[in-house]
Amino acid sequence: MKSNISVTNHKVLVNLEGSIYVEDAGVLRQSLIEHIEQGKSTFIIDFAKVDYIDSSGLGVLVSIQKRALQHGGGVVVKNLQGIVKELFELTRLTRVFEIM
Amino acid sequence: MSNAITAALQLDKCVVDKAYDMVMMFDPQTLQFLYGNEMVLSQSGYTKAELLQLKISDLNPEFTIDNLRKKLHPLYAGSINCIHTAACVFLKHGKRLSVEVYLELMVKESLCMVICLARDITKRQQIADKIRILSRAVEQSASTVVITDNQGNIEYVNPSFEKLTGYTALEVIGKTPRILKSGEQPDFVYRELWKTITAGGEWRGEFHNKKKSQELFWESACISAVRDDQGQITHFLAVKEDITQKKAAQQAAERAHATLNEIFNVVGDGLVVVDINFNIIKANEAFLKIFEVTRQEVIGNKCYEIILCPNCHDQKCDMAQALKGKKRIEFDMERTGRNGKRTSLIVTVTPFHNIGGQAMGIVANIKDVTARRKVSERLRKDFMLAGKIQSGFLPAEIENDLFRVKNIYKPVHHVGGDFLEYKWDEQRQVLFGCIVDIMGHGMSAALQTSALRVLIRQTAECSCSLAHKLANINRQSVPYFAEDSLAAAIYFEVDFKSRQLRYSSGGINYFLRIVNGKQEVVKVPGSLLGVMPDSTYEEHCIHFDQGESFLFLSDGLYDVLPGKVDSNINFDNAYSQLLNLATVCRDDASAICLEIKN
Repeated sequence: MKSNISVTNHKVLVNLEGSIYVEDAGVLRQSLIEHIEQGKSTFIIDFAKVDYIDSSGLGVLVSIQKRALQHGGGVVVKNLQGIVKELFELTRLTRVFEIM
Repeated sequence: MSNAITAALQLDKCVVDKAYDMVMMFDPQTLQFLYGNEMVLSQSGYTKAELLQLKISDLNPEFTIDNLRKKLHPLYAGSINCIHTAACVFLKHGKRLSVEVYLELMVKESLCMVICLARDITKRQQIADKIRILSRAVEQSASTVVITDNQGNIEYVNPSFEKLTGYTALEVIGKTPRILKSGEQPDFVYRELWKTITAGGEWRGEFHNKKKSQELFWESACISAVRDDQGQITHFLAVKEDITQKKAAQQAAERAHATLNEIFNVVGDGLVVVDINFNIIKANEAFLKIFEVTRQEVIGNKCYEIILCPNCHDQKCDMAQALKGKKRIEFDMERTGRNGKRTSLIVTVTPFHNIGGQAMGIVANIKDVTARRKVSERLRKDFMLAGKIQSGFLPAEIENDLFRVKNIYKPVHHVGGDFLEYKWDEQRQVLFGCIVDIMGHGMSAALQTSALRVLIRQTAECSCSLAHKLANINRQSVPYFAEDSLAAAIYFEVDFKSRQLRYSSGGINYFLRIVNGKQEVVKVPGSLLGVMPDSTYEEHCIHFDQGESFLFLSDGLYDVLPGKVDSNINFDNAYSQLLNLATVCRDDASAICLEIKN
């Protein structure tokens, strides 16, 4: 998995690429937690180039969402496609995140 | 009478001829030499005949008639009898002479002559020039200069002294240098100084003196005796330099060095500094304690005689590797002490360089991790035990006329976040089961699985639908989930009376079904557990026949399954394949494998 994280107007923009498995999930979680600790609470995660995500990856997104909500923010998920979109729909995470 | 006069005249002539000073006469009108005594001839290099051919202007072009007239005017006027002046003359062979000159007029038989008495002051001039230069050097020197008489009373101080001390020369002349005494130095220093210089020796040392403003300052001094021609001490000369700033810097450096030394010694890890020839140059207390040696046994000795690294005397020697350019090397080593006690050490070797970048040696940090390793070992054993206990909770495999069920349970770190559960209700002819996958590994995940296990067992007794059961489990389990954790689950009931498999997904959204040798994926939508307390779930139902198989997998195992769809597979092959995959899975791997026999 590759990730590109930037901050614009206090929003954390996350572009992910590749497959997100359990090892990648840990790295991603740590990166995003650091932004929460710096006071950011709005995350926009682009899945345009993600071809797979396992339950660990979904778990990271949920944990970031929980923390972001505690700070008055939230996670926006965009460009879901293919099997990743199917996973979000199967797990009903489409009801948990704002989808673009 | 005339003889006496003649003798007197001859004596006069002899006195003038042989005089030590130069005596000459010249005509002021023509500047022609009229007479020169032997000293004139001797100094000038001219013969008598040559001299009488010369004019005084030949000795110095500035001696013109007009200049001479102006110079001699007071004589002509009669206001003075003698003119005393100095001049410079150029003699034969280019010799230059500085002379002190006395000029008088003599008139005889209406002939006016100038009598000139000249004394060679060349050497005197040179000495005077030298004295002037030396004087200026002392006056302008940045060092302070103090000259005292042989009793120590100040006769001279230079401007630098005045500037540094704040005392003017007038204030100190006649006093002794004790005026600068601050009281910071013991008396024996001064006694030693006086003893040395009065014996004619040279004393060098430092003074902690006091200015007129009472401000303290440091001076380095060189004090020596000055002797006269008879060798008697007449004066003492002190040349001193203000080293206050240098002293402060030196003291600061000493304090910093002492602090660093203190830090070096109080560091809990062993530290040793080794030069490029493997000689130990510094070691702290912790190092001495680890290796059970004294400082004397270590300093100056070779590191390989003390430390005994695994690769000593080898090309792979870590110290040598660090000196060759490797920035940091870390390795483990075991050491057996004098009492047979084994110590585990982690050694980190780092080279250090001079300003030019040249390797000077290495610093090795030796950390005693014996206690930590024992704790880790205890934790590891506890972990292994916890894993065994967790495995003990697994339900036994069941085989009867209707079905057989086998399970797979392989946590990735001994203790896992997966658990599986199934139970055969003989009376109802229902096999119910579930797989739960808690996000995370290790002890915390294992504890959460225990909580969920209790909830699931409690809910299993309830007669409500699977969807309801899952909703209850979800709602009750939310408090057990930290903000970073959640769970995925699938809940099923295999009803052999109605030949129905009922299932509900709590985030495990796939299971496998083998029908007539073909493996297919069954997708099940369902929310993850622990995300939203009010999530709703759905119950699905499919009919099954004899010979079918169902494989419920945690996603760790599902993700690594290469061919999820297979057109030629049976239960045993599928089970074996999953068992093999579980050993290479990067996540906890769990599965409930069910074969419908009848």
